[in-house]
Amino acid sequence: MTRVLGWLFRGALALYPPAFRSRFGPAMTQAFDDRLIAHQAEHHRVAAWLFGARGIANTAANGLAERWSARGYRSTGDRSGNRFGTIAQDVAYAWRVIRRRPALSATAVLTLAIGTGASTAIFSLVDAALLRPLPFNKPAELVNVAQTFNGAATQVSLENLLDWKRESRTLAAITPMQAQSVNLTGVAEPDRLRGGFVTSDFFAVTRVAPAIGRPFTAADDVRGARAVGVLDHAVWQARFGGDRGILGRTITLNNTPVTVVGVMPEGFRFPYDTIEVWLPIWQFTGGLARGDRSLVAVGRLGPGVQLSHAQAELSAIAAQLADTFPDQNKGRGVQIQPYQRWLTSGIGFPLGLVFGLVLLLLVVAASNVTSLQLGASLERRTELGVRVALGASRLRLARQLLVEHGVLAMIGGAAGVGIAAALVPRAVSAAPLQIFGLDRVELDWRVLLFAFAVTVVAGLASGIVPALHWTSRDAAGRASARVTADRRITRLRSGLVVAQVALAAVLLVASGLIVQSYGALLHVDAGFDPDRVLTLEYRLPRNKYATPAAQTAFHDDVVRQVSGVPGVEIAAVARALPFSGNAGTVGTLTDPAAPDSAAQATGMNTVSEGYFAAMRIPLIAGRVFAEADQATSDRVVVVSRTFAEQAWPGVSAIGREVRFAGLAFKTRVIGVVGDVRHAGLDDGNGRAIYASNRQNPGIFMTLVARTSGDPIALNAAVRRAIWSIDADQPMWKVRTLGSLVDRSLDLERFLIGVLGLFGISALVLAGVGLSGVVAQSVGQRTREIGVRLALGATPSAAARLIVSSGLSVTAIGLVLGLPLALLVSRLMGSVLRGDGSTSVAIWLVVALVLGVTSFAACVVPARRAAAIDPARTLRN
Amino acid sequence: MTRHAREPESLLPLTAVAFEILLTLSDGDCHGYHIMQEVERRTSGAIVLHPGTLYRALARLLDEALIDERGDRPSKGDDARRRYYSLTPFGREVLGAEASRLERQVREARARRLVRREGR
Repeated sequence: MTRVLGWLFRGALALYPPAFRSRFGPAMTQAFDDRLIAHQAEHHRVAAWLFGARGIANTAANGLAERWSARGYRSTGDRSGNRFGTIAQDVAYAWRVIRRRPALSATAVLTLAIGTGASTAIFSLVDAALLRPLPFNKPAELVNVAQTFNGAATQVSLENLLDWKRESRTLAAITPMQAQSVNLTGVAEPDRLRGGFVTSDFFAVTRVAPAIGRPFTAADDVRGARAVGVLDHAVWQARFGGDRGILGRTITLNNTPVTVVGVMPEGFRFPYDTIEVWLPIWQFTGGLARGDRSLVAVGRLGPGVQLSHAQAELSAIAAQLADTFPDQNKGRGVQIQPYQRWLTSGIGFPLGLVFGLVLLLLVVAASNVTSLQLGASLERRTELGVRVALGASRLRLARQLLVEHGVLAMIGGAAGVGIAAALVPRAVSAAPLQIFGLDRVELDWRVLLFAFAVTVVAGLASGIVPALHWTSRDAAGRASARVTADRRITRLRSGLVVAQVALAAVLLVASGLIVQSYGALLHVDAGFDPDRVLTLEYRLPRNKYATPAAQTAFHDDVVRQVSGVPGVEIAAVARALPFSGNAGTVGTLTDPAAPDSAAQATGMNTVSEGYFAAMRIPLIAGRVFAEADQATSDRVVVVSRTFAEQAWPGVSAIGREVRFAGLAFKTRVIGVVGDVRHAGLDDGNGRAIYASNRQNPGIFMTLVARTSGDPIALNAAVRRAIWSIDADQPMWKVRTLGSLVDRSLDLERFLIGVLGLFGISALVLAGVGLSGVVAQSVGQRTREIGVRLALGATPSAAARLIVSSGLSVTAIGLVLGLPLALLVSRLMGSVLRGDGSTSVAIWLVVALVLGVTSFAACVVPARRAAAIDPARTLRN
Repeated sequence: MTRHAREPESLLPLTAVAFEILLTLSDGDCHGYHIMQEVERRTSGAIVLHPGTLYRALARLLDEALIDERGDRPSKGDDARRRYYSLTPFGREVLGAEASRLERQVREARARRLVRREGR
């Protein structure tokens, strides 16, 4: 580290005039080195590094200043250290210049505010969701551990996880993490709490101990031990009044007494789900055998352990487990990755893409301001010329121009932070739910630092071109060089407009692709009718409804009671509602002779008789389930159209046999129904098989009630109907089916809103930029146009000349933007859904929109050109 | 040098950095690194001198003949790259003039009860 800083310091010394360097260089190096060593001894590595970096920056800045003053560029009165005075002078002067041209300055400020505001807002999202470390001690040590099957990640079985823990030397701790709602009863209104099922290692993984009480111990992990729980702080406050006497008290969860042994600290949130009570994993009601892969595993690496080492070790352990338990583990491996990456895997790419695109908008804004200022500086030629004549050095002029741009940029940046502050809450509320960490979004120092950096860069970038131009030899000087200089400015500005058009095209194409993807999804037939359907979920306590018969009886009662609620047309229950996130997969065999290994994965659902009618899933052949299909009668199934067509192409599916891998019994197909997009509108896998809930009972169910009016208005009546069966039965996720379908498009809507905003902003900026350049060229070509008119050209021909010059700039921009847009649309491929994109059509629409905008931008200058009086022009 | 004929007041006000450097040298000759440490210590870190600022200021003070560079070095085993500086009589005058100017300002402020008592 010291060596790198040393090199950088010597590099900074190179900026000084040679005389200064040879006189003071060695002493400065000595002082720098001594300083750094002393600082390192007293401070953290990072602090020392930052200190060194500041020293280098300081040295470089002073080197430049010294070099300028050594060249005689010192302005009068710039005595030792009185430099600040001239900068104050520059700022005061810049302020006067800015105020003298209010319209121009306001445009520049607004443009910069749009660029910095949008990028700051997006950065705050990116920062919260992706960049900021998770709020845990040494978060980099946290890992997600998944099982794999043929390379694809799957969830984890508890038995395997416990074996990893036993064998591993690289993991300091590893816990399963499974969220499942638990029923809280024995209180005034039964409710569900979101339970988090873990082992005692959970507290070692998070390194967070309960605020009061104790964490779980190894004794709590033993199945059959006294059931204990640790409460979330917010639940403790809301439900138990923050009473410290809660410790040792018993609450009833899933109809089982659970002793509260602790309360987590306020604000503790494990980034997976909002958990209200932490429970030992053995209380989890799902399967925990080696073959049941239903858990997420979170581990903590031992101090200093490399991820690759842990991966190698766990792979070896997994290979052993595959040998020992071939039935459950053959072909199964382990995959370990940083926990934060796992958490953000779905959203990292879309957010990164949005961030990249907003930077393009920033470039458009900065180049627009550059172009604007270049144009405006033409009018200042006299002023700048006079200042040169009075002895102002070119450097002084350059500094003056840079300070002007800096002041404008700072005002624009401040306005941009204001825009960001207004945009961020909106963006957060519109953002898809799956972005974890959005509750952490705030305009903190990190975001402000980003805004400041963006402002400085935009200010410098937009100021450097005018500054270079006006300090070049011929610009402010001889009159003969003026025409050339003006032409050069016009060329420069045209080039900037070309870039703006190209980038605007990219942004418009990007938003067009998203709009197209969204539109395609809206027209997708989900296979069911989501309108006017109320749904809710419940889970029966296993110890209260122990037998399949008791469970079936309860579900039957639910259907009966809810059907009787006025306003309900049909009620039914199902294990896995489409779009709810609940889903099951089984291996099916349609060839009676085939071995289990030939099984094909098929979506599995368990439903009551009225389900297909309630969902309006069409019956294509045969019949749906009936009350006659009882637990004791022949096992029957209904299959989807795709399933039937794949298994028995060209012949009827009715009466065929289907077997499930690993299960001995056979089932008979009684009906074929339409395909359903279960996981989302882009879920094109139509293979599904339905079993009757009487023949495949369970404790978890989703109610589906088709209503004649507003479904949510029946919320209370439906809940009362279920409580009339069991007043202690909690239910949750009371919502409409329509809202589930709607929610699945959150990401698209978010992207449409954000990218659409970028695209329109870029379009407007490019239009403003083009209009300015064309107007300037009209001014410069007044004489030429006058001559043309005098020689017989019509005014409309003069106008056409101007319009065509403007449109040709746009055309060049479009052509240059095309490859970039193609690249962006390829990058967006993974974000886009629906049935593929026809980017050619979008490209044409974007070209048309930009063409029309350009035409509109040329109208005013073109009319000015047409109104040129040839006689007067020629006289002048 | 003719510059010695100038009035010390013509160089006022001094920058904070120049004032601190002169103040440090008024205790005795020292080298650049020592000046940095001393200024930082005395101002409790309010003024942190990096090499760039320090040596540019030193160059100005040398130009104005407020300080001098010593040809000899106090001890033998010292790093040969180090340079030692001393306050010139004119520099001492300027420092005194600046201190008086500051004191007048502080007196004005005190008369308006603007001075906060530190510590205790």
